Amino acid sequence: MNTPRNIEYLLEEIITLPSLPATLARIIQLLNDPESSLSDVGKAITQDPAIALKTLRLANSAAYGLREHVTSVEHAVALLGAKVIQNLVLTATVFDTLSHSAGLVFQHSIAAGLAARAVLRVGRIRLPLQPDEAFVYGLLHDIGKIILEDYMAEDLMQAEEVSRSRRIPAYQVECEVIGADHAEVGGRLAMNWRLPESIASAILAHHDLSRCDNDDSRRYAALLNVADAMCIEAGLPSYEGAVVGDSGESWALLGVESVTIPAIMDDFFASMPEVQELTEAMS
Amino acid sequence: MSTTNPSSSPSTFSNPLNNWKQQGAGVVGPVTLNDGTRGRIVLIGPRNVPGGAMAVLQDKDGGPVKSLPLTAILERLAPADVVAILCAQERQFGESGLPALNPS
Repeated sequence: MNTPRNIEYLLEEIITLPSLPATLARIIQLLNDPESSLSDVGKAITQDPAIALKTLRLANSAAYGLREHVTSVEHAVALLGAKVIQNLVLTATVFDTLSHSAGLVFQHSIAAGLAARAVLRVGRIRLPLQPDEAFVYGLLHDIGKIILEDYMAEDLMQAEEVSRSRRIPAYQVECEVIGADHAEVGGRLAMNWRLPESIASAILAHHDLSRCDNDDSRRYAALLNVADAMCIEAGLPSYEGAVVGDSGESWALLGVESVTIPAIMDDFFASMPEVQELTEAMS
Repeated sequence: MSTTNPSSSPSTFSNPLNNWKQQGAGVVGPVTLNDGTRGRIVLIGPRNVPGGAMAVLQDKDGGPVKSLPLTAILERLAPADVVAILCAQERQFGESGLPALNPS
């Protein structure tokens, strides 16, 4: 009897999810330990020179808006605070770990981070997120696609080809061709890494809000859904010839009205130089 | 594209990236407003130019064709459609460095 291909089958037979990067694991542990200090966090980052360098580059990028140029991780930690630093280290490590630092997915992911940030700060949506956190949510929304590119490249390419020829979004084809879509794979990776539940569920549901079991989670997923659509419309898709999905429900759930969209898009378009800057900082 | 905005009827571009057409120096795409009014969006210049994006509309029950700036009909469009239009305009005429639109 043929075993049906689904997310469980894929994770058991085909895909090995990478483990949480050691430096990030240590940072999360320190930040959750009431006995540890910000200085301990700075030292932990410094012990990984590659991550320390990227963290510094990111901290000095326009995305984080520091008024002074920082040259030490400890200084960056002191200025930015624990939560921002955790997001910075997450940003600095995740694409390294997933062995991707170039290509459409990487560019799309950065653009989605900037789009999510624009929607959050200009759309005034009711989510307990800071703009830099929204950036990280957007950045991570397609991590499942990177896993699929690593383990099932041919199947993913086939799904994208069908998407182009049938003019439907690729995620709708992935289940058919692969057995699960990239959002399911990404959601499982985020859960395995014990990232905050709001990130994991938003990644899982960013193409299907019904995967969330409450309205708060749905709003996080909706933020990623509209950010993804904005990037495709802007010509920054995760695959060539991407077909945009329906984001009407997401905009409605976020409570963003049409008259607010021009201001959101102004912010998003103005952030385009950051795509290049962040790409270089993270490479 | 957007079909589920509560205030909207099924709308506009099933895939705007494929629906934009070059017409002279401008770019034209189909649009359906929330109330079912159909027409065209004509992009002729960047966003900072008044009239850079115009809507050419005809009421459902006939009547004269009206030409209105995009800003005058925002409330009658679904958010996703505004995103699609503004992105197309920026890609065609803007200076933010987005990939070119390449209308058919």
